[in-house]
Amino acid sequence: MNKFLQPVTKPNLAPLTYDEARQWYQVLGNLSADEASKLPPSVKRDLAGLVTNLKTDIGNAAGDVGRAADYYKAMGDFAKASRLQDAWATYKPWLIKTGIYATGAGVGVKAGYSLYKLLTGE
Amino acid sequence: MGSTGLRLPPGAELESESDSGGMRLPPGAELESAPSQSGSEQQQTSSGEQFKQQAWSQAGQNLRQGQFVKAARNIGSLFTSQNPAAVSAVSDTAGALRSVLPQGTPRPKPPVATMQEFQKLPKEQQDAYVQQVAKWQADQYGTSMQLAAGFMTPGSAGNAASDVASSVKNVLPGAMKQRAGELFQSVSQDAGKVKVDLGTATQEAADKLLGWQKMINQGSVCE
Repeated sequence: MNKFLQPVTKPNLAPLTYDEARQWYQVLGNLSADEASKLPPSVKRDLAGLVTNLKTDIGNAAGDVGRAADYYKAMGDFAKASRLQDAWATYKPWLIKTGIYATGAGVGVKAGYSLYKLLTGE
Repeated sequence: MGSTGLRLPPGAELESESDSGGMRLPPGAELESAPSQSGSEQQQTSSGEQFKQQAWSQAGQNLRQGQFVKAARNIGSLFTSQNPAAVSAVSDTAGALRSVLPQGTPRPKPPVATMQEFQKLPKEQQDAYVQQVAKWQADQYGTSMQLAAGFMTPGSAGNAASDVASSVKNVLPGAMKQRAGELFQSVSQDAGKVKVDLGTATQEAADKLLGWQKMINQGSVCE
């Protein structure tokens, strides 16, 4: 994170390009998602703020070439897909349990697993 | 006309008059509980079957009313004997699905305001409205119901899976992420070298984080 913070807080250095900022956005986004629980609440809040503001800045850069709408659509779709995958990750143990459970009841286990594989890509 | 066992309050939504419409419920599954069933027959039904019937019935009612999360909970309870964790997982999944499913078109407006008035209409007009609503329901909830049916249908497991495969293709997370990635690449081709003007808010947040980092480092040195 320091590699990002140092240049950002020193305006005399060369500004980030869209591609560089996107890479940082992904790194910081993953950091805020994966390691948020380990951070103190105030740091977590500032990190979330940084990610949100960076998203807007990148969107503005995309807007400079008339692609802001596409950028935000891609962001939205990606976020939706992630939420869906998270939900299915929660569903996974239940589905496996149900598959075993349902065999005796003659329920469509095969369909359940096909659907599960289809949705999760696993 | 559709099922007659519906217990709708006066003026309730007329969509409940239709049968299952486009939603594919498993063979034998009922959208309505059958309290008027003969006593002896009902007594012979195992408690498991009763539970199953009730859950399906309630799920159907909830689906008709657009309460998909509740419906998913009912369906989940079928498998799990109302295991709270599993029901919660189904709810989460349903919520996520609902968030990505298309909103669809507005529901057809009934030609009259109350059920009594509706029943006085010519049969053709009643049927036409019921068909409209059934189609709307299918569009609105068909995909969701098919997803559930994919897990539930005893006799048509393969069909359910393939139906689901084709109907939900556009909302599969893998496919969505792939499309989003392609769109990002496309934007990057145009904007990749554009300088990003970091706003004041971003710089302030970065300053704060840098401050936190220094404090943490100093703390670790002191320790």
